[in-house]
Formats: sequence, C-alpha cells, structure tokens
Amino acid sequence: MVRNRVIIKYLGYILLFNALFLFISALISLFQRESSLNALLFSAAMCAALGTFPYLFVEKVEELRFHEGLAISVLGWLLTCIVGMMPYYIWGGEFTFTNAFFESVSGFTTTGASILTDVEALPKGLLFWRSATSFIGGVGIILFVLLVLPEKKGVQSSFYRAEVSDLSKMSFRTRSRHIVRIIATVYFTLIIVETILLKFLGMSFFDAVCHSFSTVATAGFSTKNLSIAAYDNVWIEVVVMFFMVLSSIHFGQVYATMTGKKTNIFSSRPTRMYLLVMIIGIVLISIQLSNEAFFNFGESLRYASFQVISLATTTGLVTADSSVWPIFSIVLLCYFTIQCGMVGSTAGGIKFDRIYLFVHSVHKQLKLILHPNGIYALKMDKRIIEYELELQIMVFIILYIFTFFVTTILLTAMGIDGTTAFTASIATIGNVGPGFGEVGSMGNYSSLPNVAKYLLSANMLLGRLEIMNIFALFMMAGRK
Amino acid sequence: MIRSLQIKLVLSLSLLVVMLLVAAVMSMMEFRNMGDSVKGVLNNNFSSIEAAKRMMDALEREDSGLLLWIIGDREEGAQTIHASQAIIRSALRDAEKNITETDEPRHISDITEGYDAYHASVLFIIEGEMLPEEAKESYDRNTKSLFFRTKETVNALLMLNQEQMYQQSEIIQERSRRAMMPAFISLVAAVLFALLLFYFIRIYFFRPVKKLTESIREYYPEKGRLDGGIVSRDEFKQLEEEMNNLISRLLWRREQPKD
Repeated sequence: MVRNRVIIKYLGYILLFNALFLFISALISLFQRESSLNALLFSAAMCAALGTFPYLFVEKVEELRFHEGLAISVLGWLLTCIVGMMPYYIWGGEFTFTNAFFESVSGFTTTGASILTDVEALPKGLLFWRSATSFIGGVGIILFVLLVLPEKKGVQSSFYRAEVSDLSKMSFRTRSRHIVRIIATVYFTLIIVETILLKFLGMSFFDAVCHSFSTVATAGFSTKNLSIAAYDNVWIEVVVMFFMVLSSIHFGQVYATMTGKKTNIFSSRPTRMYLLVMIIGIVLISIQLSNEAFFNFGESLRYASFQVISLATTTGLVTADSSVWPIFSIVLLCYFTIQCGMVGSTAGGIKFDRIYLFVHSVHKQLKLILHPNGIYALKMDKRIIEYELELQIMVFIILYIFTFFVTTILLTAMGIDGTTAFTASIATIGNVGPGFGEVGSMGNYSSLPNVAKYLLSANMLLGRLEIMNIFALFMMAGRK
Repeated sequence: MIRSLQIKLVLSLSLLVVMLLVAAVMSMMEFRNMGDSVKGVLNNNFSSIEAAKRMMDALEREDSGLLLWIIGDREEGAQTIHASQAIIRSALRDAEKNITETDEPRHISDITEGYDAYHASVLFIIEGEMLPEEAKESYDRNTKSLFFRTKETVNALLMLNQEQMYQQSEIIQERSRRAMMPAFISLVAAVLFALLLFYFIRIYFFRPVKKLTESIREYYPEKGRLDGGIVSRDEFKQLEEEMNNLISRLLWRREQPKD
C-alpha cells in the first residue's frame, strides 16, 4: 500500500531544495540589479511555501516502501522540471510556456538542448539557474535530497533502490549508505577543481562555475552563444574534455582512482574499452577532416576530439559546427550519441556498459548455439552478471531503440526532416543535446513545433529515468 | 516536529497568506516598474521627439523665410528667419536637457554644428545685402545643401528616439506580462494548496473523527481500552487517551460497592 502523504512529504523536500537554488540565483540577480530578480525570488517563495506545507502535517517516517521510493523518484523529477520552468516563464523573453518547460526539462535531465537563440541576452541570475538545473540533475535530485536530509537508513535505501540502476550498484564496491557520499565527493571535487582550472585559464569566475556545472553534470549548457568555441582557447578545451571524460566514467571507479585503490579506472576492462572506442572515433574523424581539407591535421584532431568526447559523454558543449562535416564523420558522431557514457556517472543514454554486455551476451548466445549443453557466464570486471540483469539490459536496449524509433516517426509526421527528426530523437533520449540538421551543434530547438518540443521533453525524461522506472510507475498507477 | 493540529493549521494558512502576499507585492512592484517605464517614455523619448519635430518645422520655416527674402519680401523673410532661429535654439536646449540614449549627445552636437553652419550662410545672404540673383546663386551653391544636411541630422535624432520608444513599448509589454505572471502562478499554487489542505484535513481530521466514532460505536466494556487507531500524536490522540481515562474511571466507579 502506497502512502500518498509520505510521497507528498518528500516531494515537498524536493521543492524546498529547488527553492534553495532559486534563492541563490535570485541573490545573483540582486547583486547584478537584473530584471530576473522578481521572477527568481517569486519562484523561490512559491517553492518554499508549497514545500513547507507537507512538512508541517506529515509525521516523520521510519521507513520508505520501494513503491513509494519509485513514485517519489519519478514524480520528483517531473515536479522539479515543472517548478524549474517558473522563473523562465515569468521572466519572458524567448521563453513561452512550451519553451520554458523544454529548457527546464533539458537542464534537469542534463541534456543541454536549448531553445534559446541568444543565450547571452539572459540575465546572470537566470543563467545561473539554468546551470544550477544541470548541477542538480547531474547526480539526481533524489540523491541530493538524501545528502541534505538526515533520513533513516530504511528511507535512504529505498530511495537508492529506486534511483540507481542495478548495473550501476554492481560497480560500487561498498555498502549503499556510503555510495551517496562517494558520488557527492567525486561530484563536488570535479566541479571545484574544474572551476579553479577554468578561472586560471582566463574564464570569468561566473562562467567557470557555470561551465563546470555543465561539464561535470555532462549537461552542455553554456553561458555563451558559441559555447566553448567562444573562448577559442585550446587549454580550456583540454580541461573541459578531461572533465567530460572523467564525469562520464563510473563515479565509484573515479573515487577508487582518486583514493589510490586497485579497482580504479585503468583496471576496469569496460572503461578501457570505452576510452579506446573514443580514441578510435577521434582518429578516424580527424583523418577524414584533414583528408577532405576541412582543417589541417592539428586542427582536425582538436575539433574532432572535442566533438567526439562531448557527444560520447552526453555533454553537448561544442567548439565547431559538426553539421557540415562529411557524412562518415556525422554517422560516427551519431553512433557516439547512441552509445553514451558509462553507468554510475552523470551521463545519460544507453550507456557503454550495456553495449559491452550486449556484445558479450550475443557472443554467449552464439557459443550456446554451437555447444547447447555448455555453461557460459556473462562477466564484467570478473563479476558474474545474473541472468535477470542480462535480460533487463536486453529489454532496456530494445525499449530504448523502440522509443527513439517511435519519436523519429512522430517527428517526421510533424513535417520535420529526417536528419533533424532522427538526431533530435537520439540526442534527447540520450540526454546529449545537439543533434544534426536544424538541431545541429550551432543550431537549437527553437524552430521545432510545440508538440515536438513536448515529445522531445518526454524523451529526455525517459532517457534520464532510464525508461523502465516511468513504465513501472504507470503500471503501478494502473494496478491501483 | 509540530504536534498540535491547531498550530499546523494556523501555520499552513499563514503560508498561504505569505504566498499570496508575495504574489501581490511582486505584481505591485512590476506594475510600478511598468508605470515608471511609461513615464520614462513620455518624459524622455517623447519630449525629444517633440523637440526634433519643432526643430524640423522651424528649420523649414527659416528656409521659407530666406526664400521670401530672396524673392523680395525682405522684411517678412527676415522676421521669419529670426523667429525660427529662436525656436530651433529653444528646441535644441530642450533636447540637451533630455539626453537619455547613448547616441543622443552626438546627434545633438551634429544638429548644433549643422545648424550653426546653415544659419551662418543665411545671415551671410541677408546681412550681405546681396542682389536677388546673387542671393539665389549663393543659396543654390551653399545654403541649400547645408539646409538638407541639417535636416538629415534632425531626422536622425527623431529616428533614434522613435526607435527607442518602440523598444520601450516592447519592454512595457514584457513588464505587463511579468506583472500578471505572479497573480496567475499564485492562482495555480493556491488551487494546489487548497487541494493539499483538503487532502490533509481528510487524513488528519475527518479520518480520526470517523475512526473514533466507529470505535465508540463498537465499544463494549469487556474490550477494556478504546482503540481508535490514532497514530498521530495530536489533539485526536489526546482525545482518545482522555476517552480511555474516562472509561477507566467509569469502570472503576461501577466496580465500587454501592454505599
């Protein structure tokens, strides 16, 4: 039996958490004397009032049931996206109701797809809120709430079960209550170090913070119209690339590397494979770009590295307009948009680990055809993958492909061209951001019809919540 | 954790009041800003536009005065020229007092410069006591082009202020939207708030009352304690406990031998 009042109480906490960041954004607007102050302050006040209300009535809970955790997780994301659009919509400018919702969903799901044609016209307070949505969405609003609230163990583990995928849990070699702390340590350390480095390399402190939020959350929102290309600084690009890669690797492995443990990035075979695939992609695209005289080899390597890493890690920051690159390069970049980062990181999409296991599972099935009585186990980093998990991965991949296929069909039915429809679908469900065609790296999603924007927003949420959770909630609601 | 239902209710209704107050204050602030913007448009851009129009009008009259002078109506021509000059100088002073745009000082300085040159060429004709043919030739050679140039600079000032006025009107439109937004969102939030309040009242007021009523209806002395199934620690729990105390006292009294 699901206790609605408990769900409402925790949704209230989520609102309070949003109110805190809205208030910080309002302070920035206040210091800058900007037009967004009222919008941010009002949104913060609304969130705080609505968030405090359930806290007053609902008594403290000793334990949270799994279904309640699942409902809070899914509804929490939806609620966050809805309240996140409030300051945008109140402020106005390019933000219509649909655009504000799209931008909010894009931020919280760390997609980084934007409807803004002129990002630099936004007041700093709103720019900070935009980056803060990515920051909150990076590790997930629920994990953030868990960090702040001194909740009972029963409550924490329920949330943890609902929010973190089984595959991700497997790679953490510690108890669940320590995992939240590990994720937070890695997340904040990466953000702080990157901010310092970017500031040192010439970015303003504000831009450095916003870009660090964007990079470590693998989101892709920039404070500049030209994204990272605006700085035209190789060292800034190198730093951003380094942190994009780190943020797309399992945080447990990053933590192990940081603390000098054996089970680190370099000891993990899938991680090594992930890095190798990226290197191969970079080399192939660089060779083609220099061969077809787009750039000299040095420049080709520079731009190809950034684009491949940005798309493969689902970040979506850009330094070049890859829409005009040769078709082979575009197809390779599309592959990276589908492949995405690794589980246990801030990256979205299918995740490389699943593709790795899928390939090994196919291999296992082939061996079973040849030796029907053989016993073969699917392994990842010397750990046996249970059959249920293997099946779950297969179902996930099928659902994922089915979802972006359906989205592509629906988008083309709205009159959107094939390239834009396909790449917008894979870029939003993978939480990558930029696609090709109209929604290319130097374009945006503003020209798409409103219905398409809602469809792609749903795609982003499905991608972020890894599809199954949303379907499970619908099933739960249906049964009730 | 607050236990009293009375305090919970008072606090939650206070929250609603605060929410509506914030919305009202925000709306008022935005409306005040909107009023300031309208006032700004009228005070600054509109005054500059008026000044530019006066300049344009006077400039044309000065030119007509000069032409009158050339064709022989010298007295009326000279009077028109002097009257127009006074109007232009006064309009220029008004425009200088109303500098609100970045480019405005440059435009005013261009007008002053252009007009000074034009007026000097007019004075050169009328004070030089030229013959009509000579005056016409001087006008065609020099004054005419200076007149058009000055007119262009006045026009540029007019255009600048008109553009700014248009931009201001867009800002005002945006502000009016912003002023309405808090009211709209508060309305939605208030509805949500009311629904939540109704839900909590149902859970924490009606449900305990119903449970207590049912448990009283089904109570018989052999049961011992009255169990209303109240899990909260609020006034209803106190009521349940007091009922149990009352039952205990009544049972005790019943068990006592009668005197």
